[in-house]
Amino acid sequence: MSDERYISEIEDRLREAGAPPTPPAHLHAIARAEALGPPDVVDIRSVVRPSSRVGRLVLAAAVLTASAAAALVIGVGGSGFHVDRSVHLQGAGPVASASAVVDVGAFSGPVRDVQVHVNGLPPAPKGGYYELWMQDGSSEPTGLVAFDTSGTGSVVANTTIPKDMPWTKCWVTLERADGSRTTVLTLA
Amino acid sequence: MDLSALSDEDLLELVAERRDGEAFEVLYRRYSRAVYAVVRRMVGDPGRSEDVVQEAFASVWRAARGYRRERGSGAGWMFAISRNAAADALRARTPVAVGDLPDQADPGLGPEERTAAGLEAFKVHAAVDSLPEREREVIELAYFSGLSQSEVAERLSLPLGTVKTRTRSGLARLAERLADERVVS
Repeated sequence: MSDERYISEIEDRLREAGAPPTPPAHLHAIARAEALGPPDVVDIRSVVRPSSRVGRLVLAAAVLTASAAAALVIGVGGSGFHVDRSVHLQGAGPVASASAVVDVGAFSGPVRDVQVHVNGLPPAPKGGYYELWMQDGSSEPTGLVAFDTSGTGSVVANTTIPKDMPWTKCWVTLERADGSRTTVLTLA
Repeated sequence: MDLSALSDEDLLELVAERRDGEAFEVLYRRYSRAVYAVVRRMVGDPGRSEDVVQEAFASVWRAARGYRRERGSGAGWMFAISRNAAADALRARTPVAVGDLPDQADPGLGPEERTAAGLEAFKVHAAVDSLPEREREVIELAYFSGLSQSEVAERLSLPLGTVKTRTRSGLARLAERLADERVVS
């Protein structure tokens, strides 16, 4: 296609699209606060395997803080959560008595809430943390939320997944400060 | 690093992998009018539309990790998020009594055609908003407000030649971007 025809087509597209309405100025601040507000998800992939020991300790602290915040959020405002599907995870190896229930909520907008109720899982070793994963078939696993447990071995962590995200497997790993990983909870 | 030069796909990956608030801001600036336009068209009410736009961008932040560039463009994904948020809002609306039904079928576009047309307009609006300010203002005045190039020059107190140059470079940039989005062949 010639440049002139190409440009002419762009002009046609512009005219067909017409002027979009301008969103009110205050919407930016509101939308930003709605999106970036209190974090309830720890995305560890951004800081996976920090190279320094200090970095690992900072990560661990962030994980603990976020887990506590998530538990608080659920404790205060979790009454609106409608479970669509629950799966049970069972401990493996030295934590065979541990268990977890993963509640996947009915979709709300384009996402589903996910709550993970963990019991009997001792706090992660210093500098480590736990992570919930989901996977569909042989696709790349998706790390959903990092958390740690309290002294009683319990925690409730929450996150979200896209409403149409396919998954057939679900498990929890222990992510150690030295970068090693062990699966500690698998589908019962 | 100037994130505004990054593609939608790169920005979505930054949001997904680093929870990068600055990348989110760039996406907001690039898509807020396009998202608002889609939502207003579907929902109608301005106040309710604002709520839906908030929800749509919150969903972008939360669900960015579900985006896969091999499945389609970032613009297409943003459009789907916006349309789904608006559709959810419409579903949640209390049903109202149906009045007199029309005798004849609506001769306008069917649902699929409307969606395709909406997606095209969405991509065009987002592409315009990604232009440098000096190009965007002349393009908008010429094609959205219907001013002649002379009138644009007068409105902006610019020489006519400058308006022509900016219009040309803006159109070329749009052509490049929209070709990537497959809006034009």
